[in-house]
Amino acid sequence: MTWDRDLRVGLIVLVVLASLPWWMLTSSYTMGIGIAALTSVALALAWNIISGIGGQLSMGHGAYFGLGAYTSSLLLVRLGVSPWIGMLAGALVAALFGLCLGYPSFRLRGVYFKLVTFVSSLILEIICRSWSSFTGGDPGLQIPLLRTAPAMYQFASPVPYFYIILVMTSLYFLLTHWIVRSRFGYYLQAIRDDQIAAEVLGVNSLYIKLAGFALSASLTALVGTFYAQYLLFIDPASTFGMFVSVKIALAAIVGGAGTLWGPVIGGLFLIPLAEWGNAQFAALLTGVDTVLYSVVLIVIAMFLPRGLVSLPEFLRTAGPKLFRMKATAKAAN
Amino acid sequence: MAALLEVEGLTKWFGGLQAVADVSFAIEAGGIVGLIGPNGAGKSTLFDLLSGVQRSTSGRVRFRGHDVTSDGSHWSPHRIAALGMSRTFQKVRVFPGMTVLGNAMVGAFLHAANPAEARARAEEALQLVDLTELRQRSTRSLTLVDRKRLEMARALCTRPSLLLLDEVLSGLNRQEITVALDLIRRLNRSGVTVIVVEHLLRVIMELSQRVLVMDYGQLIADGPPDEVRRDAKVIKAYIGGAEERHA
Repeated sequence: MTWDRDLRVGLIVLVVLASLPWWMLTSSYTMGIGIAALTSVALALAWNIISGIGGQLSMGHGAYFGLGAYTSSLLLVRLGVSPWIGMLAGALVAALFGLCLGYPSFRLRGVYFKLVTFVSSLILEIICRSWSSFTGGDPGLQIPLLRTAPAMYQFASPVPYFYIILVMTSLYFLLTHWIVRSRFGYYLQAIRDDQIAAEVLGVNSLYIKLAGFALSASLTALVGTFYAQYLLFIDPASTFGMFVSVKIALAAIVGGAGTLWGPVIGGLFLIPLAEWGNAQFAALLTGVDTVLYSVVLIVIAMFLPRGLVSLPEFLRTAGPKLFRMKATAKAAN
Repeated sequence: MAALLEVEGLTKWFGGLQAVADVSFAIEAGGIVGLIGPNGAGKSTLFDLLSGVQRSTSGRVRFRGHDVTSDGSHWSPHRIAALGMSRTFQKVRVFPGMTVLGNAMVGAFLHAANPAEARARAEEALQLVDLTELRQRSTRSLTLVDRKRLEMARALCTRPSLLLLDEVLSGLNRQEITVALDLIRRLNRSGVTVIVVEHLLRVIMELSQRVLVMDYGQLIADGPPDEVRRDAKVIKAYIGGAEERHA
């Protein structure tokens, strides 16, 4: 792995993030935001592999988040299996589900694939709700409180959770960094840009898409287990729900889908913004965070379609343009 | 010794339209074959059938001894590419989200063991088509000529034994045509068999040792340029104007 600028900057960012619990995230409230933000980054990085780099937009990644959370939690609650092992099972289940879903639907034209992904997480949500004898149904599943039990993926303080998700996010970042420089990454991008042109160059598009999808699904599932162990409570809506899928995609898109830093910037920007919004308007309205998500999405779509990562480029080109416009307006007068 | 490419009774119907009608020919390794015909004759469709982009309605295509049209399991384009057939498109299809170098690397990865090797191969190919200076540019800012050169370089990176070139010369001026022809000849000498679809008859006659002529999906002539040029059927197919266009 070449030690390039992205890795250098990444290391600095990592060090800064690792130091946050000491000076910025000092209350359990702020720590909660920090963990939520990193969770969002990890999910966005995972989604980005198949949907950003690979261009196969999945609007149903909540399915894998939920499969990860529920697989490890059910194994724990019913069979006493440690979530560290359960999370691997969750990743496997998610990968298999993704493959079964992808195999028939990757042959469909783009829009149909998106629909299938969207519906798949809804179906899982319904199954989760109805099969209540197995999954705990609508009221959800509680994970028994053990306080400090590292072997069972539980800690009394939020700080260890922060560092776990930080490590996960860093690994996902490194993986993405490797992918974009590898044959796999080049092939994903080629398929995204023009699948037929890719095929005549020897790219087995079905195989590459399936591999990307399975990888993305399993990485998402691992975060699902983390979430379950952090909150110690999961239910169908908060895991398989439509809003979960949308939030995952949104973080990557707002930051810049298909890039290395896009998901990172998107997650670190959106979550604190949403929390700030909620806190500011808590007395007047609830759900301000949802409104903010919509506003941000519209602004990005209109002015920065390539995401926040393209902001430096935008300023470079738009800045001089604005200056020239003002100058011609003055000259006209 | 079996021919490099054998086509038998190749036919393609699009609904009620017969785009390719019972075409048969064989090509030995080593030459440059021209493929000409009026617009809509079925030349690009034929390329699609050979490269696996479209499935034939009936007929056989044997490439390097492999039947790529085996009933029930038409080979996908990527398998045919891996076997050594590469092509360009009439409407250039470069990858818009990648740089010039990146485009070429996609082709190079077919045989390269790692990114460094792919990069080296890609840079070699770009040098061959004189695109080295533009290698970090996004394809969005390229002229049509440069995009055509890129498509050719990218196809070359897959190390083909058979290269199908679909109208690589259209839109080029005289000088650019000379350069392109020189490149095609050089490729051919290095061992790549080439089938060239072109509208410029003068060029095809000069470049190819053998010319195939298509009209309304059928192969109406097949032989050395001089014969084909005098063939009554060919002349009739082109009635309505000498198709010789000069930039």
